[in-house]
Parts: sequence; C-alpha cells; structure tokens
Amino acid sequence: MKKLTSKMIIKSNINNIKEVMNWINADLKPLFAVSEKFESLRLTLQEAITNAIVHGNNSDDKKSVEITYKINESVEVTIKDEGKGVSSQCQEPDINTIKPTDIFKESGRGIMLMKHFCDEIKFYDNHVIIKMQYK
Amino acid sequence: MNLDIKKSSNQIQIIFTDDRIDTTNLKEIQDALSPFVLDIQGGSVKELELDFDSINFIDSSGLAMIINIYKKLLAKNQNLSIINSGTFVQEIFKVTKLDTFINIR
Repeated sequence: MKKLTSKMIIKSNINNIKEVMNWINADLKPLFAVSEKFESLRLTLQEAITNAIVHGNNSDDKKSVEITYKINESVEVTIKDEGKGVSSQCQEPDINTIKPTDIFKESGRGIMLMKHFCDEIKFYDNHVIIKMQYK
Repeated sequence: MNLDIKKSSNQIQIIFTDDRIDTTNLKEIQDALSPFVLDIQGGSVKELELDFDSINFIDSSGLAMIINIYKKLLAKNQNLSIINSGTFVQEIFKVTKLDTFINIR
C-alpha cells in the first residue's frame, strides 16, 4: 500500500532536484491513469522546486526546501522554502501571458508553465500548494 | 551526453538522444551543444535544426537555453528550427510563445 503522505527535505542546490523527481516518479507516477497528466504534474513541481531553491532561498545551500505530498481524491504537493516567497508577483494577472516586449526574454516562463499545467495552484508567502487529479 | 550530428552545406541537424531537457541535465546538454553553436556562428551554414524526436519533457531552463541559441543565431542571420516534437512539448512551446518566433514543425 502506497503511503498517503510523505515528505522530503533537500538543501537548496538544483542538483538535488533529480533526487526529488526520482522520489515523485517512484511514488506518484503509478497512480496516474494518463501519463501526460503525470508529466504535467512533474513539470509543475520541477518549476516550483526550482523557484523555491533559486528565488525563495537564493540558492543558499544552508537553507532547505521541504516537499510534502498527500494523496486523497487528488494529489496535493506542498513546496516550502525559507524565503519571503514570490506570492504577490505570482498573483499578477499578466504573468499568464508574455508581453510583446518580453518575448525574447530567457527567464519568466516558469510560473506561466506552473499555472497552465496543474489543476490548481495557490501561492503563499513561503510555500506553494499544487493539486492534480490523477484518476 | 550523446548527440547525433548530420551536416550539409546549408544546415546542421542535431538529434537528441536524451528524453528530456531540464534543470537535471541542462549543463551537460549546454556543454554538448555549445561547440556546434559556435561552429555555426562562425561558418556559412544558414540553419540549425534540432530534432526533438526523443525529447518528451522540457522545462523553463531548457526553454531559456533554446531562446539563447535562437538569439545567437539571429544575430548572425541564421535560423533555428525544431522538428519532431511531441504533443506535450508542443503545448509547452505554445504556452510560452516560443512557437511565435521559432520555426517548430
């Protein structure tokens, strides 16, 4: 029986994302009836964890990122960092689209992907909660 | 990191063998690609074509790498094309508007 909740804590180094994604793959992928739905969750999580490491914790490897999943009717994953969060920036409506002047910018697409590919996302001061249906 | 390379007089085609371009393998891919990008920038080849047949996942760091290559080639009047991308990757290109300036087919 798969655990209904589990947690992993990593130091703020992007090299640690692989370990998290291997854990998510092993624990959550088998739940998903449609593989593209899992890939969407994976993309959303990867962006959220990168944000937490790079923007939340300023890539300070003394700081941690905590990832917790809960399995109910849907999968709910919380990503918590030790920073002040990017809450207000993420709530801006125009983050969903790229301004013509920013079209060639190399950054700024992560939050757009997160918002598009998950079923539900909520931004708080130092954590993000992502929900995805798996049935 | 292995890349398959096909060269003609007008084009260099790079065929990826990994299944993803994301933060977990970005540096290896950048290191593997950069000599070819430099080579193209300094030569007479007009187009770089990236074959995404094996790629089923790309994140924002991978997109940033693609945009960076696009801008380098654009500065030399050279083109970047992406071929054989699957539906999930195409949706990522569409959401992030890469399909509005990079030739994706």
